[in-house]
Amino acid sequence: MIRLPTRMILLFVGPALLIYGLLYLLPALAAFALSLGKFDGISPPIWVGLDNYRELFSLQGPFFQSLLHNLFLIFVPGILMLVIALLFAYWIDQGLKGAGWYRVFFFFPNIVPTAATSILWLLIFSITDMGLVNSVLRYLGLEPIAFWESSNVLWTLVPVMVWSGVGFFMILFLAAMSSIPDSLYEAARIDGAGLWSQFIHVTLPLLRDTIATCWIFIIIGGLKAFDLVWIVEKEMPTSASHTMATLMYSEAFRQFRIGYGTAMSVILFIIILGVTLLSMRVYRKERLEY
Amino acid sequence: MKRILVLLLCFNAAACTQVNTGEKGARRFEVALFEGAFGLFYYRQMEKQYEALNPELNIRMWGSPRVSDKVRPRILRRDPPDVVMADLPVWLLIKGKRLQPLDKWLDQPAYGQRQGRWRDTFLPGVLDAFTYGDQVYGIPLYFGGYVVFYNRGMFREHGWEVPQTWAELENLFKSIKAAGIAPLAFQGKYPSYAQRIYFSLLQRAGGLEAIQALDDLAPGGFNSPAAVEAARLLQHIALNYFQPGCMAMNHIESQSQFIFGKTAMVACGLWLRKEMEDKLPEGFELSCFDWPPLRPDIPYCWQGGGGSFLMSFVDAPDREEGVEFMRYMSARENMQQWISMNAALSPIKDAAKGLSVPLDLEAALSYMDRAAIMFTSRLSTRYPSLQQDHIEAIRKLITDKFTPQAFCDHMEERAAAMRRDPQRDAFPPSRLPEAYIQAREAAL
Amino acid sequence: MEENRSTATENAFRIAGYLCMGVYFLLVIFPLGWILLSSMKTNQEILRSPFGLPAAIAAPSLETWSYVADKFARAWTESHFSDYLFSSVKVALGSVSLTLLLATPAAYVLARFVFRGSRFLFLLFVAGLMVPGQLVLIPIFFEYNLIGILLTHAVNAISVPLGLGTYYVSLHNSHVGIILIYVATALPFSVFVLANFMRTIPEELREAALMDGATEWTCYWQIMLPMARPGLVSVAIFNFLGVWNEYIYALTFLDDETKRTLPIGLASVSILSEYKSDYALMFAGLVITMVTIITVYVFLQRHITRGVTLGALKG
Repeated sequence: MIRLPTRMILLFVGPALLIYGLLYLLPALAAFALSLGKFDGISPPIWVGLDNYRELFSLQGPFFQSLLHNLFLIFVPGILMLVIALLFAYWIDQGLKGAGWYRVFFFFPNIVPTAATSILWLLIFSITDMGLVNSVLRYLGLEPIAFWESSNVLWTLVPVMVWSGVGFFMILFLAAMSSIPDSLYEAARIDGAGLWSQFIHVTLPLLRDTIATCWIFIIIGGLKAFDLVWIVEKEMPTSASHTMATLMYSEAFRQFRIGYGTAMSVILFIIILGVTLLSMRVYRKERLEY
Repeated sequence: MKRILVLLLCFNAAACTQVNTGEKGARRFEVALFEGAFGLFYYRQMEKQYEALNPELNIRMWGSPRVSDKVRPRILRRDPPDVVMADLPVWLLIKGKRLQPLDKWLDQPAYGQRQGRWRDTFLPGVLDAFTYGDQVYGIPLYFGGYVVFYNRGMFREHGWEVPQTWAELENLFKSIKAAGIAPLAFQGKYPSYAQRIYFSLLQRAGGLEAIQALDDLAPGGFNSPAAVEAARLLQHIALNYFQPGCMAMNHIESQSQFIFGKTAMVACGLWLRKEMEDKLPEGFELSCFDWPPLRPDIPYCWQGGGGSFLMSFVDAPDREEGVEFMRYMSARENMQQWISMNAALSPIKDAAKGLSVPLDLEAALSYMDRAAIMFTSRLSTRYPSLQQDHIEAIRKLITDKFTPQAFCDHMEERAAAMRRDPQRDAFPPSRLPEAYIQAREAAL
Repeated sequence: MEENRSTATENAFRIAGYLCMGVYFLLVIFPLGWILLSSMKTNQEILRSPFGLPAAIAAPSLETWSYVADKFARAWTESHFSDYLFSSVKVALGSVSLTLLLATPAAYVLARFVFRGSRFLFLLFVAGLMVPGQLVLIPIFFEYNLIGILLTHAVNAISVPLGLGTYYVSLHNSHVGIILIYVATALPFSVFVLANFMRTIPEELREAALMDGATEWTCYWQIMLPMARPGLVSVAIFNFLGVWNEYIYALTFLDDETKRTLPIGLASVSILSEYKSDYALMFAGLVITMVTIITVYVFLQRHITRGVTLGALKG
């Protein structure tokens, strides 16, 4: 291997390292320091040690509630999304006609900016006379449902998240399914397996890696959830709808409780770190089994 | 490939030439305004007039319904606008010596006057909400209170009367409901509207003392018998007489339900007429009443006071110019324009002289005349986090997630936690106004 | 007999498939069609019924169509959608190009050369993958306060002696400021993916070039970059979509209407239009947002699908 002169290394890596260090690593370290103080952005910070964390960990506190909301937004839509995506992918893989169209159209909601998705569904589920779903309910003589009432927001977001997520996971599953050799299915068929049992005994086990990847994706995305809730709540989430990120933002930039807000983001970081490390372990183990 | 890269690079270079730069020195200032019911019409008019008077002056004026969310980060980055009308953590800013005391200017004559003091042109008491220690930190342009608006035409049609007692109110609710109409529209997306109802009910149940007990975080203030009674009434009204589905409506949506005749009443501030003006159906008669008394021994007080407070910051570069503009906007002859443009009252003495006011304002004024005093809660300016908790708890109360007792106990617990905090801000205990004490003795 | 039953279930399976996928297809298409139709309605038409046809379709005439045109023009100028779109394009292109410009050489060196600390540097970049953007949001905000003060002093140290007046410089509320943040947050992923990609390029090519007397620089520029092109495209698209949709940073760091990007602009228009019950405007804004993304999707569908799924496969 030819050695690269230090000058070249600096030229090639230096600029990236500078921006990355200055605007990512340094602030990340600063976050830990900030989280140990009481800081309102106006008067100088006061050292309070772990007080912010102590406040976060009270079970009745808003942070714990918001963590539960994050978990809800991860698992309820997550399970639905994956089940639907798996089914669709399996259907397409089994040779349903028009596969290309499904790919193109089902994937589309995924690239619509979340802000637009939220507003679109805000209008569809609106309680006023223009709301699509409630108009149907009224037409059928049923009571309209207050979908966007704060305590219903999380439930209403389930179909919204499924709508925008299914296509993405479907494409992932399709890619994985296409690499399953036909001989495996044939072997199963010879053993008398129907479509269902082929799916259960051949497809699912071979998709285990992909499904795990999807879960990590869903979990990390769900832990960071911000814009959906923020927009459908008109920028004012309540204790019934706050996620960790919206709570952090409101505490820091509305209530000027900057140390407290930063402590939340540190906890968020630790959870995400935990998930990532765990997933790496799982992967390594699975690779060994092969 | 390379061509694309070069193109992108040129693009980047072009983008990078636009770092935020601002030249200092020119005569200018920035005004950030809450864009609510009154829109920006009055302020735009003032801007035009003021710029005509001062041609060399450059005013940068903008407004937004979410102005406080835009101004707060700018306070944190020490780049606040020079004049701000927004909901801000006032006490925090005063304590951090960031809010500009206005006394220096208030002691000079009002705009266009040779003598007298600017501060004396305000109605008595309207500056109190922004007075901390001996200093005044904000001046109001709006004056008004919270009432229950009703559809007068609908009331006449059904033979309904404005209730004078609580029993009458209850009967009114029942007969409206029996007529197949929802009694009250409610701005459910913003539960703070219910907090205003709660404060009115609390005053009826426990007098001004009960309101002040909250302001002072007095032990037992949040779960006193009067507080529980008010919570019980609020929940009773909300669960039985609020329009179904209202919790998913914002203020405009629910108020539209009222003016389109789907509900008979709505509780709101006096800005309602202006807010819904362009949608008011032809011939719609808007009028209002205040929540009836609960106990004979408690004098009637009206919830209201100054509003649309203007503030400035010590680190705003052009605050001197900005405060002069505030002075201009609150001049009496300009305030007359305010009244006619906004169909609202003004905190400047005699500003409404010779002007006719609409029906609903007239009704409101008659309640104001009858009131022993006007009151406003100071929870929001003194303890923003407790205010936040209170609104959240009220949301739970009116959606039946809290019983009245649980609501009060929860708030008392929050207040107790705040009392225990050694770093909390201690305010001198509130004093009952002389007029109130006299009225109370008369009632006894 | 056995054979028959299995074809019967297979048919049922297929029919169920077509049915479900068909329904879902409608679910994807219908909202888009609905907002397109609604965007042509007046406020009264919107509030009357969500299903009715707009006058521009039901009774096409010059008047009804000019209303539609007028409304879109209003959304475009008065509601700042032209500004939002321009800002979005500027910020997205700016941050993507700068990211590539910085990440590619770094990835190249870290992937192909071993020097003291090279492994540490690579891990340092990769570690950023586990740091959520929210962690650095608040500290960067205050860091920009400091940088603003430093820059202001630096600029004025030059401009005042030259008699150019005093300036106030800040990275807050500026496209440069937010581009820098986006670049910093995109670097870990980009370096990681590009480095993995560069490892797959055969070493012989480079060595042959060096034999021919090429310098390291031309070697990078002439051989590695073209070879890495598919990787670059995927990374670019992935980052582009990320920036295009980004919300929380844009919300925190941009506040002038002329500087806000589409997502936050759209959200603030939606709040404003609810305050004014001007729903027609909100629909128009939604359509503008959707149309831009649909146009891009139609042309780059394959690349986009690959770019987006790349994140999942590599990460």
